[in-house]
Amino acid sequence: MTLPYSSSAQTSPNHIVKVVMDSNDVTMEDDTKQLISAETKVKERDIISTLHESVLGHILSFVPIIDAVSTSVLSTSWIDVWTSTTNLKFDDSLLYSKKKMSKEHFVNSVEKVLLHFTNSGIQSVSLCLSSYQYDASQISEWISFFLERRVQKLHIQYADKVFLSSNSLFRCNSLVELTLQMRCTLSLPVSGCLANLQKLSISWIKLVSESESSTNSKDITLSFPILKVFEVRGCEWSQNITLQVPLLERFSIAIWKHHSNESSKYYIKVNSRRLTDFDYEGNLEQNIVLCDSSSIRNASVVIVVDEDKKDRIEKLGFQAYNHLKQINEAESLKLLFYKVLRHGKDIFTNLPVFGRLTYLQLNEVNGEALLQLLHNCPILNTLVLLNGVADLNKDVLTSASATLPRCFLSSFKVFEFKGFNANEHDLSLVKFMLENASILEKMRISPAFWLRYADIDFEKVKEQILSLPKRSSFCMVEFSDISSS
Amino acid sequence: MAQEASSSTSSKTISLKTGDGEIFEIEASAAKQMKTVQRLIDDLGDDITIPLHNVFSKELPKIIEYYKKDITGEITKDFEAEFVKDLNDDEVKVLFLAANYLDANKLFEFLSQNIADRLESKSVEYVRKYFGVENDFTPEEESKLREERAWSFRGIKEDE
Repeated sequence: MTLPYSSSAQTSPNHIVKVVMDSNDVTMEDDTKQLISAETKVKERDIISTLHESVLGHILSFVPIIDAVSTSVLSTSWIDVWTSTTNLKFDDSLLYSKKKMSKEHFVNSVEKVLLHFTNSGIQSVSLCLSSYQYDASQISEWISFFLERRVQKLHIQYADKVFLSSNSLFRCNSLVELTLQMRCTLSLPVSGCLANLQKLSISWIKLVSESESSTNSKDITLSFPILKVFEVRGCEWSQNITLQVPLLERFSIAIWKHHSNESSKYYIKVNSRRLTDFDYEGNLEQNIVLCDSSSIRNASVVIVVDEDKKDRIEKLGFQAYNHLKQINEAESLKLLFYKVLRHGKDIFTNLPVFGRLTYLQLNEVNGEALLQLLHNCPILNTLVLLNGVADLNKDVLTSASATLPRCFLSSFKVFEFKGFNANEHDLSLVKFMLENASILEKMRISPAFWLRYADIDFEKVKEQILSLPKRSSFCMVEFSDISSS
Repeated sequence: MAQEASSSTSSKTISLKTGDGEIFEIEASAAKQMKTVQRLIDDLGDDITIPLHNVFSKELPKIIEYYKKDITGEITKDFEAEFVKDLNDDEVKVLFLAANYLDANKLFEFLSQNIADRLESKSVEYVRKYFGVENDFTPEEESKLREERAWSFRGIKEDE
């Protein structure tokens, strides 16, 4: 940010202001005071207009570029102020005369703006197209134009067909932040590199290989030497991809398209020694290989499994183990399941030991699985259950009481039970916890929202719970207000 | 006590004197965020009262409030929304000019965005008045330019 204003601090308008203000120390007649205040108002105007154009132009960089162009009629010195903006924001949902801008109007304005930037660099571009379907070649042209302008931050949102040239993408070495939310196919070179990229976020993109040979897809290696954050959502890939990302700290991947089996045949390998945060969402079919996962401290695994096929169920436990063992050094883990409860117990036939885990959050789980997890988290401090326990049979509890999880004796201090159903299973779990967790300090129970409408006397349930025997003498049991669930 | 003053700047306060003669105290770490102030400290030393001729007692407390939150890392979107909620366009402008003068980058960027948001739906005449810009076009020149750039006028209503 330039500071031309302070350099103009020595010019006469300011000097006059200073002199006027100093004379306030002396008592004056009313009309003199009025004159002074009028003068200072005029001086203020002068101060603003002597502000260097780049300072006022800076405000324009926060405004959609179309609006910025209209400032050219403010005065003769403002004709070109908008061209010094290095931040272009295009949004086709902007209103024109209270109605949505027509497609022709929008395309025309973009073209007119781009004309002014043919010979200059652009620092950041945001192109949000949500209102119309455009000619694919038009959009590709615009994107190439931005890439050729040495853009540093590029954000494109467009849900229709467009051809994205990986050539011009990988030639744009200036990219620091890239966000592509586009339903398109991106054909990747066998090896590509973006030396300055720090944040990459791609959604809905189909990654294919440039090399046409259909019989054996060549493995692809992408190198982003200073990338810190990589987010992949709803993408597909049809060859093995290795990411050389030595400084990557956050990797987040969500796969939503389950009827495509392509992606599951190929791996994505993440080569980083600094990964601290890992988020996965999918059906466990994909092969995400973390070359060095020992530094991962926060992980979230959301498993969504739709199918009921027998062979799928059998594989699930094995796949779950493979995914979870990669994050076994995590300190905080969120493990959420959707539609998979039927097969719940199979997922936990084989669990790694989470030697550093202190925080665990689960959404729905059956009693057996929960206890298996507790056994494998020797230093667990906090457990959060979002939806109670699906089923908890008495045998499971009796055998659990015989060999308690290690964390119950030495580290388990906080239990948050959200979505408490006040049914037999949930009550048994609460009883089990209170009876066996020797250093439990706090148990917070939040009733499930539907209890508000049920016939259950929650006050009685509360009394019942509070009167249960507690192994830990300093354990506090709290209840969230039922009306706030 | 003398040791404390010389070894750490974190607990030290700096005195600032506004253009209308009032004195305010800020923490040295907040002063660091205002490059103009820091430059003056470097030149004049941190024991004397730093004079700020172009910042006045109406706006300096607000700026100090912002940077107090900044050094504790508490600036959130909610805080920023609350910060400008009751300010009218002119008050924001005065703060913006002060932030520019003080070379207080974070506040400057935030207020730039806020002013941009406020001006987005305003007419050309309003913006002229706001920035104190004299219209030096002839009527013919202006209408010619308006026609050329008609595509950029989003038909905003003329306001009071």
